[in-house]
Amino acid sequence: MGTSKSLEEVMVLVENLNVTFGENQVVNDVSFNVKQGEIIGMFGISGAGKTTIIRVLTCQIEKKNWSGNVLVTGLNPSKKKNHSKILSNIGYVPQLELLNLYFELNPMANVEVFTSTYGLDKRKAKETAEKLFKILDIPEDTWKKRVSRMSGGEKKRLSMAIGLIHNPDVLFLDEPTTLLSCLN
Amino acid sequence: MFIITHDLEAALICDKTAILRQGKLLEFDTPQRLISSLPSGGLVARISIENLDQKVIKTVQKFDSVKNVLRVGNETIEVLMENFENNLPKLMKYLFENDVKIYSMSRDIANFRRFFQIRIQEEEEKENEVNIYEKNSEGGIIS
Repeated sequence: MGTSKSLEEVMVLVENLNVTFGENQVVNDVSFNVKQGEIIGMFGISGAGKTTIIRVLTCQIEKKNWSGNVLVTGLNPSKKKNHSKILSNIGYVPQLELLNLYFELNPMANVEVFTSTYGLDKRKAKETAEKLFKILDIPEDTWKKRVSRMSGGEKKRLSMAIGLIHNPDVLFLDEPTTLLSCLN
Repeated sequence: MFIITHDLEAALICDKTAILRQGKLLEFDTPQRLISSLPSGGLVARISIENLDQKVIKTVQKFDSVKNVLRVGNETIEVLMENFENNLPKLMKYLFENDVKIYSMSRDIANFRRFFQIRIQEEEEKENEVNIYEKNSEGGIIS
C-alpha cells in the first residue's frame, strides 16, 4: 500500500526550464517530470540541449544562466545550500571520465575519495565497490593499477561504478555506451 | 535513471523517451505511444528496389496516401501511409505500373529510430517553410 504511493513519487520535476549562455538560448521552455523507477532516454542530434538539461539537474550550471522551476529529489538546485544534499542523492556519470575520475589514483583509491565525501563507512564502501566492480566486469588485476593505465572501456565502467557507489535515488548517464564493446 | 545517448536502440530499455532539437523538447512519452502515433499506427512497408534513386523515391512519394518515405539502405525504403491495409496493394500496383522494379516487400512496425528520423525531418521542414516565408516577405519576390 505504502509502496504504490512511493512508486508515484516525482523524483525530477522540470517546469519551463530556459538556459541561456550570453546571447545563446540553449534550452527553450522545457517541462517534464520523472517518477521513481522510470528510465528516461534523452535523444537528439548534437547541440540539442540534452547535456545542458542534465547539467542543470546535477547542480553544474550557475543560477544566473537558467530560469524555471526545477526539483531534484524534492530539492531546488537554484539554491546553493541544497547542492550537497542533491549531489548525495544522485549519481552522475559524465560523457568524459576525466571529469569524475582521478587518473593518477587506482580504482580503490578513487572509491575512497568519493565515498569519504559522501560520508560513507570505509569498509562498507569497499565491499560495495568490489560488488560493483564484479558486476561491471572490471578485472581484479586493475583494481590496484592507476586509472590512467586502464583501457577506455575499463575507465568508463569504473566511472559508472563511482556513480553508483552511494546507491543514489537518481542516476544520470551521459553517453554511457561510447567506448563499450557489445560484450559489455 | 536518465540516459543521454546517440544510440537509438537504447529506446528499447526506456520507459519514456525525450526527443530534443535546438533546445526544445519535441516529445516526452513512451516509445510505443510515439510509434503508434505515426500514420496507420506505425505500420511500414519495407521495399527493396532495383536502381533505387531520388527519382524512384519521388515516384513513391507521389502516391496519394503515402505519408513518409525513408531510405533505410542502398536499395531499401520504408514507406508509411494512411489506411495501410487498404492502400498497400494499391501502392504495389502503382509501382509496377510505373516500372519500378521491386526485389522484395515486407511489412513491419516502425522502430524508434524511424520515429526519431520522421519527427526531426518534420521539424526541419517546418523551419524551412518559415524561412522561405520570411525571405519572401522581406524581399517581396513572390510572383
